[in-house]
Amino acid sequence: MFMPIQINENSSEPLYAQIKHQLRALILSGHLEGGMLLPSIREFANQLQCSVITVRRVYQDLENDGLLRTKQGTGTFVAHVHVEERDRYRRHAVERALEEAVDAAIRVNISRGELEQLLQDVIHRKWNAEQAKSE
Amino acid sequence: MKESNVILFQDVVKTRENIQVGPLNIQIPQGCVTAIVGTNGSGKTTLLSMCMGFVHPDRGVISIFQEQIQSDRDAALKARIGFVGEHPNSDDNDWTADQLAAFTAQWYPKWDWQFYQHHVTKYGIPPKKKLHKLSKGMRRKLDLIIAMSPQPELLLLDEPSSGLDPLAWRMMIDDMHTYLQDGKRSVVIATHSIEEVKRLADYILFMYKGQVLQMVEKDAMFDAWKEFFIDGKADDYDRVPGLVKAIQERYGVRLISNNAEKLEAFLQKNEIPALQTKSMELDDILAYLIELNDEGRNIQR
Repeated sequence: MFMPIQINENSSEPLYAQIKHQLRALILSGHLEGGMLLPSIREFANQLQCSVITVRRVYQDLENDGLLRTKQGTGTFVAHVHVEERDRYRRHAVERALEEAVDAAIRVNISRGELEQLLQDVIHRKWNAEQAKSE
Repeated sequence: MKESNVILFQDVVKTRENIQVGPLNIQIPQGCVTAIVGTNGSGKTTLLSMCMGFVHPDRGVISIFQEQIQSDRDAALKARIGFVGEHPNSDDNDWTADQLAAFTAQWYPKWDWQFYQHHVTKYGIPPKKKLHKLSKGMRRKLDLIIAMSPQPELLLLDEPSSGLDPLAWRMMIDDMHTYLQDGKRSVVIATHSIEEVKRLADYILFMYKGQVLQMVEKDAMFDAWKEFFIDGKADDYDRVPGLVKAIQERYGVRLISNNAEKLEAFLQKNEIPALQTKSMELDDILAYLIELNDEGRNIQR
């Protein structure tokens, strides 16, 4: 089973945190469905070229967060996540991205009015493009 | 979940011609791959030979599967271990692969003929040819298959991939992954191959001049060792926390860190932008560990 997790060796974020954040995102975004069986710890470690210690830690943490559950002798499954929690996550992910965009604006001393106008423009442009695609 | 130890060394000392190996205090966790990495003559082979009872320590205690090794009655213990030594056993030279397998199988109650046959075919080993006529790589492949055919709980491998062609090497890595799938089996592998450590290891045991430099979990180690490129002069940074070495480059400074978290926090606090952050290779880390050791500086972070 292939898991779309991308590791950046040159990042200063610890490997364990990188894997945990991405796996969490895959679950909360609904990419991995509730009830799905995840790879065994050794299999996942091979795929990511990391140690079993790291994978075990990620599984345990996400299990404590209620996103995974382990059945003795069977393996680790994706838990069924509540709709509210999923929505909360989606909002949170967008909010974080917007925060980064605002940070970028602050760094280059753009005015508030200018930023608001820019955001409107971007939304307008992207939304139209999306609509054109779906028609 | 706490792992139990598959191998335990307590104050083990062995004096060899040129060096004293030990005192060694080592715990090898079960269900994991531990790679022994070190320079030539650092004691890796002595360590593995002591696990097999081929070499007896001058003092200290070695336990495998929580049982103390006693050379006179360890046949049952050894039936649970697969071993590939540094060199092929020249006593076997006049035998064919199948003869060696048949001889070895007697000692192992769980010997798996199907596994043996399948792998001999897969690796293209001529079963009826005398072993001294096989190439070094062929012989190595056979030794690996014979070590794995008894379905051992522990594999001790001394540079198993030396002489293997790249395709055979890949097959070996796959076979090791299959072997480890149940999560309870353990591997200890002495190796010079950086790629092998990356692909297989959970823990790394660094050895140097008969001593353990450090035993560390692989990912924690790679997380801790990073290079940072920044502007400025090396002399201004030689007291930075988490620093191993500040190296002057033509444009700026390269900071080698064995505690990247600490060093990065320092850079952030002082608003020093890191132009680049890079992971480090295993051989560089080994070289710096040796440097720290020889300078009498503390290796532990």
